[in-house]
Amino acid sequence: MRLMDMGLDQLNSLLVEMAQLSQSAVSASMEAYRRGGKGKEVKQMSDRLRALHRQVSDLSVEMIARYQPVASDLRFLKACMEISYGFFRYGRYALDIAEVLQVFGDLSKCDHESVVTTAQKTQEMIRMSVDAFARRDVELARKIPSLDDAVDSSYRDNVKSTLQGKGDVRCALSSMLILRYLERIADHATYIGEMVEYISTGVEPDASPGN
Amino acid sequence: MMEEELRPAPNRGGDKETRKGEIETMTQNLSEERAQDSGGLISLAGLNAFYGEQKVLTDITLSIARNKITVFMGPSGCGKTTLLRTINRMNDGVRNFRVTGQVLLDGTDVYSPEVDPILLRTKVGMVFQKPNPFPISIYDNVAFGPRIHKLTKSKSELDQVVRASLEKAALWDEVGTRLSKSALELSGGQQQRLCIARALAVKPEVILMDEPASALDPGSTTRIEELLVELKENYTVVLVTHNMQQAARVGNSVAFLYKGDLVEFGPADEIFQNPKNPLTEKYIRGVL
Repeated sequence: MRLMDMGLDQLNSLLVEMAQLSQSAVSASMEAYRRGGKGKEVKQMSDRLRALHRQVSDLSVEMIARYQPVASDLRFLKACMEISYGFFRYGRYALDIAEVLQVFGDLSKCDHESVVTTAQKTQEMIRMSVDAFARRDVELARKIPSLDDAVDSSYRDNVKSTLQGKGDVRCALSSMLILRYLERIADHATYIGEMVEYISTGVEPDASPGN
Repeated sequence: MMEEELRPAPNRGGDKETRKGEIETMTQNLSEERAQDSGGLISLAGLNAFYGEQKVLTDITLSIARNKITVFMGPSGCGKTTLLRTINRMNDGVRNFRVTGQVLLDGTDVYSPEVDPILLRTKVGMVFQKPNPFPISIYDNVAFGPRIHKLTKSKSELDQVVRASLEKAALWDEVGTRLSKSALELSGGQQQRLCIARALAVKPEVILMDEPASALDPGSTTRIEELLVELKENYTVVLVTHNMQQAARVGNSVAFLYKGDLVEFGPADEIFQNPKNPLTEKYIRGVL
C-alpha cells in the first residue's frame, strides 16, 4: 500500500458518511413535511455535513501538497471535493426545507401531492448518486439525469401556477420554495453522477450552456 | 434565513454557468499551445536500437514538435536516454551500438552517410545529467564551440556570442563580472546553466537534455525549469527525466517508454490526468 492510499481510504470513508447523512437529512425534512413536523433534527445533520465537507477539502488539499497525485488518483481527489460539496448541499437544502416548515407553520391543509411526488423522484436521484459513488457504478450514474427533467418540470409548473395567484398564499409559497430546493438537490445529484463517471473514465462533465 | 450557495451550483434547468478551475500552469496554457502546434521538427520512424544482440528500442515512431518541450519518461533502463542520444548520434562511438529505422531532422535522415555527426551536434546540442564544465574559464567554456567550429570572425563577435549565450542561460547577471574565473568555482546549478550556455553558443535548433536537474537542489532545479520554458521560445527541447512532477511542470508532450517500447505519447495534461494506457497509469501512480 502506498502512503497516499491511506489518505484515499480516509477520504472515501468521509464521503460514505456524508452520503448516508445527507440522505438522512433530506428524508427527515420531507418526513417532517408529510407529517406536519418541524424537522428540527435536520440542523444538526446539516452542521455535521458542513464540518465533514471541510474535512474532505482540507484532506484533499493536503494530499495534493504531499503526494502530487496524478491520473486516477488526481481525478479521484478532484471528484471527492466536488462530490463532498454536493452532499453538503443536500444537507443544506434539507435544512432550508425544514426552515420553511418552521417559518410557514401548519401546512396540513395544503395539497401535498406535487411536493411529495417530486420529493420521491429527488430522493431516488439521491439514492442513485450515493449508490453510484459507493460502487463506482458508471451505468447507474448515467441514469440519474433521466429523472432530472421531471423534477425541473414540476418546479416550473408550480411557479406558473403560483403566478396565476390561485389558492392559499401560504401553501403556494411554501410549495414553490420546497420544490425549488428539491430542484437544486436534483441538479447536485446529477452532477455527482457525472463526477462518478469522471473518476472512472476521465471524461469531464459537459459544462456547456444548456446542459 | 435561506443561505445562499457558497459557490455557483450546477444548474441543469437553463442558465448554466461554465465551470472553471482547471489547472493552469504559471507559464503556459497547454491547451492553447496544442492548438498552436507549429509542426514536427524531428520525426522518429520505426526506430530500433541495439547494443550488440540486445534490442533496447523497438519500433519507436513519434514526432517532436518545434519550439515545444517534449519529455521522454520511464523507469530506469527503459531506453529513454538511448532514444535521446540517437537524435544527435551520441552513441556512434559506443561499441556494437546500431540503429535501424529513421531519425529525421527537418526531413533529413541524421543517419544518412552524407550527414557529418560533428555538424549535426552543432544543430542538436546536448546537456547531461551531471554538469560537466571544462576546467577552464567561464568565458572559454562558452567560447569553446564557436572557436572550434569557426562560427565567429572576430574577438568582439565572440564576446557578443558569449554574452548572449550566458544571458539566454540566465547566468550573465551572476558571472558577467568574473568571466575569467574558473568554471569549476561555480555552484552546481550555475555549472549546469553554463553547460546550457555552452550548448547555445553554437546556435543549435534542438537541445537534448538528459536529467539536467537531477543532481541539483530545489532552487537550482526551479531555475533550470524556468529556463527550459524560456528556451522553447527559440529552441526545440527534448528532455529526459524520471521526475514526473518535472515532466508535468515543463512538458508540452510526454512519451512514456517501458522496456524499449513507446507505450504512450501525448499532451502532458492528458498523460498526467487521464492516461489512455494502463501501463502509463500504473507508472505515474507509482504502482508499476
